[in-house]
Amino acid sequence: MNRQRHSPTIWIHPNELAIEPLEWDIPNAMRLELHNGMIVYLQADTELPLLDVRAIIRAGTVYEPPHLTGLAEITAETVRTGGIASPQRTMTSDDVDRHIEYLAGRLETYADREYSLASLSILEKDKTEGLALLRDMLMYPALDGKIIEHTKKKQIEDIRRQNDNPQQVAFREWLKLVYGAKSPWAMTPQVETIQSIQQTDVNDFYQRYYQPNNIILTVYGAFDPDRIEMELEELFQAWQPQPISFPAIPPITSTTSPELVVVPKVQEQSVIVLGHLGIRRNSPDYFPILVMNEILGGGFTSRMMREIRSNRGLSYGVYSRLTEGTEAGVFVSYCATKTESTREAIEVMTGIVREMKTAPPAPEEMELATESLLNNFVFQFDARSELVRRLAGLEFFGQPADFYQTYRENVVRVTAQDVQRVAETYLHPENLKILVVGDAEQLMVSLQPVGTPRLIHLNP
Amino acid sequence: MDLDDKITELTLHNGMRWFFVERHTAPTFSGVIQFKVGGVDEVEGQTGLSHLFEHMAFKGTSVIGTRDYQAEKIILDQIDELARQFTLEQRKPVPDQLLLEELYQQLVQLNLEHRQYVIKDEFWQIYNRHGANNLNAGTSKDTTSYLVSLPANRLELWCLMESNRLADPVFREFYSERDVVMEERRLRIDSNPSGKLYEQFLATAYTRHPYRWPTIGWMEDISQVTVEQAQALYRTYYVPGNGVGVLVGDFECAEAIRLVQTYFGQLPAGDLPPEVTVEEPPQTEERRIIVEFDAEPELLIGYHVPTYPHPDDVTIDVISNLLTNGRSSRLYMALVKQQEVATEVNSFRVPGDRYPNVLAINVIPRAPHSPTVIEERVYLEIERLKTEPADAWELQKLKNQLDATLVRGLGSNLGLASRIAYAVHLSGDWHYFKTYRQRLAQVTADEIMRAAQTYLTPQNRTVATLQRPEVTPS
Repeated sequence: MNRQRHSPTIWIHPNELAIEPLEWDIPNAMRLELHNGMIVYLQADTELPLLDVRAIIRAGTVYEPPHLTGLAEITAETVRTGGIASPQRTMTSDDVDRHIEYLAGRLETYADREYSLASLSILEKDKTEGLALLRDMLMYPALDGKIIEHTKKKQIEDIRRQNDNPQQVAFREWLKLVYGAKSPWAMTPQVETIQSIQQTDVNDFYQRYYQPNNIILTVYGAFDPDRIEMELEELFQAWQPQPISFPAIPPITSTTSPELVVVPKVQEQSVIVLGHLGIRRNSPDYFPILVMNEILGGGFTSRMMREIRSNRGLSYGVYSRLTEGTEAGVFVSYCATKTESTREAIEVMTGIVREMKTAPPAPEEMELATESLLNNFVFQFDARSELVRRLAGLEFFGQPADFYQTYRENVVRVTAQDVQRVAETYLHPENLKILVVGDAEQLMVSLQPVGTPRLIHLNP
Repeated sequence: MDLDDKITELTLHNGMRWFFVERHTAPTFSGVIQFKVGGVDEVEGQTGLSHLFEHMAFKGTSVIGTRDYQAEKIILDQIDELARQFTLEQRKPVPDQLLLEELYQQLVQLNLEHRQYVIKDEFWQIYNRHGANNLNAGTSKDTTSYLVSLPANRLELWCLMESNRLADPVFREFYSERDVVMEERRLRIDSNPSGKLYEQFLATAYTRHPYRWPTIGWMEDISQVTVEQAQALYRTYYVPGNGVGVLVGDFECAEAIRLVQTYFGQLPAGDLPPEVTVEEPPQTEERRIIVEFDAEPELLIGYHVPTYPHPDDVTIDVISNLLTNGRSSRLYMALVKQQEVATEVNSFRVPGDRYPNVLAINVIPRAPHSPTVIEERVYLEIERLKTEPADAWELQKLKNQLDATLVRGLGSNLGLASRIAYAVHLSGDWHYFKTYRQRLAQVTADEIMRAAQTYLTPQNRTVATLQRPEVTPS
């Protein structure tokens, strides 16, 4: 097209613009296994003088004994802040902080449901020392008893504050409805369980799970690709593999029956979370579900966003997700709206879920959803550090290694009929667990047309 | 990698300034359009206007988002006229409720009629279809930014979309969007203890200057804002000379310049908007406020300080870093690690940088330690700043951290583009990064003590505390 024709008063519609195809390949990374069983994903990138390392350790909260919830997080936190006691050096908690911060590095840990994560970011010139710190922290943590007590105090304060934010309350309590209050997929630490945690518990949890053969390491950035394998072997050579046994995770025993629950909190806005159990990981329907959710509540142009935000002005944001889990993910939809419009928002959200099942989506909706997924795919690898993290994630969760290679063809293959079929199979609007955090006095009356809410009072 | 060799600068004949950084790491680019308009440019009674305009900038143009603009325009004008009458009546001391109801019903009817001409959210649709990532906008007290990342073959699309909405925004669906913004306020401030504390803290620290109100606006103002007001803001502040464009990513600079000239060169030049002339009078005594909220306690302490180009600006940043940056910082060591009276401590410059601002220290107490006790502990560390020189190790640590931050900042197209735009608005020059590093390296231990003595005084202080409402025994 002739671009010179644009005059100051004539604007063409963007759909008239010719767009050249984008040709690109998914970048490559290297995978290797160290002698001690540690899996490593490597990608060199010398654009910036930075090295980025992450250790994914299969040591999540789902492996905690039920009477010691909070143990995985306290272990992760104490590995980071509890000092170092290696054969070569002893460092206090303050020594480690001062050292890494002087090098302008970042060394962090946290625990998630299925893993704990340790990460290092360091300037290239300090990478030897940075890697040694990461290694010492993972292999020789001092797990200082005083620091464990300090960490427990911090956790207890966090629990005291866990009802301050209505969004946090809503998702936490909703997960308990969906998985069952005692399920490790929904449980959160309690003051009593934190208080019960002793130094031996932290030592045991650490010894049991922080082992080289239980770690996937990703290394990205400024390193020499010819030397890195040797350097990593050397770094971790004294770390011997151990047999690791994982406790059985109790199966999900929650009911599938519908529920309507109100959690009282005096405020002008209600937080609504609704949905039910989702699907198991590696579902053959992953891609139809992806497209279906894109249309339902995936982005700014989804049905939910259009009706609830754009047409009715009921909420700043509304969305839905259908996620995969090791046993089961969730179907969840969220919205926050003023107290008076809570019922309207719930009815519109559930109505849109129902419609998803009754007819296949319109051709324009299919086109918009698939084009958007295909064209946005390049951003999965936009930050180059993402590649090794994503590949490590696939291996950790047992997903096919060619997931990204086949992503685009799998999206293209999805039909409107597939979308309706997965909506019929996986969406259950008649069995929604609906939870609302908000002004209970008004909601108990105004929600009557939806059902009679059950009140859940939070611990003071 | 040095930015000097990488940035290409261009000023269009209409005055809009542009910056280009080629970065061929992935087949994508990020674009940022930033205008020097924000909460600080508003007036009492119309707070939140610049943020509401930012929302309207996603509603399309006379080309995007409409099936027939000529027909649509007639209804839009009718809607605006009815809404004007409605607001006039609403603002009367004793509004006529019957008239209000009648006008409201007519508005509902017209809005339904209007919908037949609208292609719903077509601006978003087009960007989504083309794979947009991080499509967003943000309004602060100082600036309004429009951000997006796109696949590399969509550069011309970006130029068309962004220049078109700057040239010709159509204020359709204004009143439902106003409701959306009211929900956004309930979400971010009215239901959020930290949001509420921060809002009340600023309203106490400032008495006159427009830094005193929240960027999103007071609820009463948002609920009454009109299309005319939003149009006036657009005409005054969205002139090319008040805007900066930045592109970072996978493109050829010459091609990008050609496209930018073609599309953004069409925008008519206009007079630069006025600067804010209101000055905050010097504070002469401590101000305190207690904010009641159903949440655990939280503390905010702030001091008025000067901003760029005042030479103390960077010294204040050094003080802020000494106090709270990292686990080896002074307040973290004292309050969190040694005394265990708090679980978190942070400090930052708020609410903007265009005018003199506030160095704020935020502390999350650990029960049973009260904010009052913690306040005293914070002041002990502040007194130390005035009497003991910082040691060389601490100052070197800060320089190392700033250097690393500058390197890390180059790793994201969108982050780099945003920072270039902001530096240009603040200082007129992207070299700000470099001179900032030089100025920081020159800050001496004596200057730190002198700045602490000058600014961190009780009479220059505002203290805001979040606490639960007192329960009266029944």
